[in-house]
Amino acid sequence: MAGMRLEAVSKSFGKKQVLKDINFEVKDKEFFCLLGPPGAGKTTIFRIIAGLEKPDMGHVYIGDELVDETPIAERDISMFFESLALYPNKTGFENIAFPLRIKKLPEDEIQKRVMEIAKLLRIEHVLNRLPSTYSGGEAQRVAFAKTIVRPARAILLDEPLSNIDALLRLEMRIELKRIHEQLGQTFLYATHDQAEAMAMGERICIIDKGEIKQIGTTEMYDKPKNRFVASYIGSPPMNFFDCTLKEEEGRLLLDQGSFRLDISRFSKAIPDSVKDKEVTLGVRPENIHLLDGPSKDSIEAKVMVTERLGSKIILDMSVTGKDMFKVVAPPDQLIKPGEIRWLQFELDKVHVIDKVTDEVLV
Amino acid sequence: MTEILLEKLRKEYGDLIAVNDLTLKVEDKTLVSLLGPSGCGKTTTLKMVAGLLRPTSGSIYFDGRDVTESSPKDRKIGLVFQDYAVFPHMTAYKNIAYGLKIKKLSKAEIDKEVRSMAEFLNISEILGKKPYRMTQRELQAVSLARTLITKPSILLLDEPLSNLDAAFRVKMRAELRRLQMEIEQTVVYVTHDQVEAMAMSDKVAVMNRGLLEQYGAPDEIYKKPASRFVAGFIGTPPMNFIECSFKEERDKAYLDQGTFRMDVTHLKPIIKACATGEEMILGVRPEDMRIYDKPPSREAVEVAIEAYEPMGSESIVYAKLGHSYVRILAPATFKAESNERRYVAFNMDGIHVIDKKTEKSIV
Repeated sequence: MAGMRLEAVSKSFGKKQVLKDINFEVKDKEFFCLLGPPGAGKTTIFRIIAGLEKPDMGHVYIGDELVDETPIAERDISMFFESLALYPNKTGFENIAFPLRIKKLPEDEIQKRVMEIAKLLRIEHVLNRLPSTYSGGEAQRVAFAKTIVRPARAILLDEPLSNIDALLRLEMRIELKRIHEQLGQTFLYATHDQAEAMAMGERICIIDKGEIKQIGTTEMYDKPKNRFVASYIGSPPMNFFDCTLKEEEGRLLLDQGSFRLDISRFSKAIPDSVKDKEVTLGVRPENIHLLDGPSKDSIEAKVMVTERLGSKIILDMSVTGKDMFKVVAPPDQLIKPGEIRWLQFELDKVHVIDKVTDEVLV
Repeated sequence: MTEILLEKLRKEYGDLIAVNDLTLKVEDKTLVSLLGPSGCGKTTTLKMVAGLLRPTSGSIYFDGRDVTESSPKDRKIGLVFQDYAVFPHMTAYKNIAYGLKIKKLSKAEIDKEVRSMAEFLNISEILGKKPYRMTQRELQAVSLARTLITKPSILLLDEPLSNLDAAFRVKMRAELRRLQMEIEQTVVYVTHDQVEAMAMSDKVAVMNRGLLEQYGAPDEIYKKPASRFVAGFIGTPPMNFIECSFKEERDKAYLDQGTFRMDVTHLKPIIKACATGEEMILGVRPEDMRIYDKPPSREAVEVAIEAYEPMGSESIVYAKLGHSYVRILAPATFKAESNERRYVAFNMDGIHVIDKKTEKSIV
């Protein structure tokens, strides 16, 4: 068990820079998530930590040890891939025992260790069976058991849940959290699925195009640092409106063209340099409320599409007919496409984003 | 503009019944989803509607006209399958333009249509690319574009959004729905994703192992699932199932789980009329349970917190209720240590009672 640290790591493949100055520290026994779209650089980071790839610049530490020159086998890292295969001709027991047999552990210790892990993962009943008889969930668990059976300093999990069905994924989210807790291991987990990262990560590191966008807890849902994080976390995603920031009679207004929003309360947080400039207004669909009639500061909009999901309704609405944005409404609303509704933005929850730097100001 | 009627449609492969006497009416100008896990028969059904697969028995009618024996060409339908049909030697532009060229539209008209369709599907920048250089997502978008552009009156779609990233899918499903309403198409939409089916459809046909489990509007299948399968398949996080016994005591009636019991006296007549035995499954959606620090009422039930997932807009709490595990929706601010005791109250209007033996819903 150990933490790990990446210090100013950069990597290019040919002309393409895939990692730019990556710095982060994973604490001992932490569940740390790397979150970003496919191609963001998550797998490259894993390969560098495991020693499968050498960084062009920067250093990798496992625990306090600098491992830049340490060969793969001596790094003592266990890695789980999306497509990790089981040996079809070996029983569950032998599949799980395989990494220990390679290490030439004594038989009684192999027995003990496999049984321990099987118990932890609740797969004792499949140990004598061949993989062809497993359900999807059992196969996932056996593959995972194979990864964690050997004591390692840290466990790297690269999209372990991406190929399984939605219900099983929900179950495995809880399972992985429980296993992490009971195993007391350091988990580094890569995913493109923001829900997975939010559900499991003690901390989340968001990456896009080889750059770190934010590191933090799930609080980044309410406090995104930049537009990318604001748009990537949350589903349905945050709405963005291009606006001009205006000062009028001592009031600070966001002018979208078809509507205006008084944001005087945020005056102090907004530097003078962006006043009278183009900014982006960010509002989450659940922070826009439907009114039956107009009121002060309400915005009139037309319902374009209704998505009745049972527990809620997602509406596509538009002020002008072109600008589409999403609103989440309670499931009992009687509402149809073509109808007009009045909207109120929850002012405590809106974000103002600098259009040039993409930085979230409020 | 066409109404589609499937009558006792059946497809067998040797001993396997892929589609088992499916009767289904897709009304004119509506979007109907065929929803179910892989192997449920949804794609086989779609292929029979398209004319690509001959049914073992049963009939297909378009506007009352029997098309069971017609060739795919004569059915005049638009078709987009998961495996993309694009011309490999043509650029994206030419692929998308193809259908309009056949209709002999002018060059200027074609150009306008292709560009607006490309913008709609977010592929304007790849119009010059040939298929071998395209990503999965781009191929999928191009094959969708070349069908949508011809505005067919019947459109059959098989998981058309499956390769797109999550955020773009959420956007596209609403856009596709808007387009369907605008050009008043009849659409049959195959998906395994219940959120997509719920979001887009006028009606959802839930299929399982070749059988139609339920056919209804999204709200209806969510609020009144006909079977345990539908109850568990629709909704995320999924409905909790708690095994209970139905017990009567004097004039009262209870669902008894062992560690707690729920007073269901008001449901006694219907349960007694429909149940085949004592064994029941109590179904409760995560949003129909509420968590409290202290018991809010005498009916509240103690739970032990196992874990919780802070999802930003809400938290999903995973807790042990007697010998069952349940998921409960809580506010985003929820916090607890594992194994901490809390109390849960049920929304009695949201409970479902399912016969354990038949797996059919009673309430």
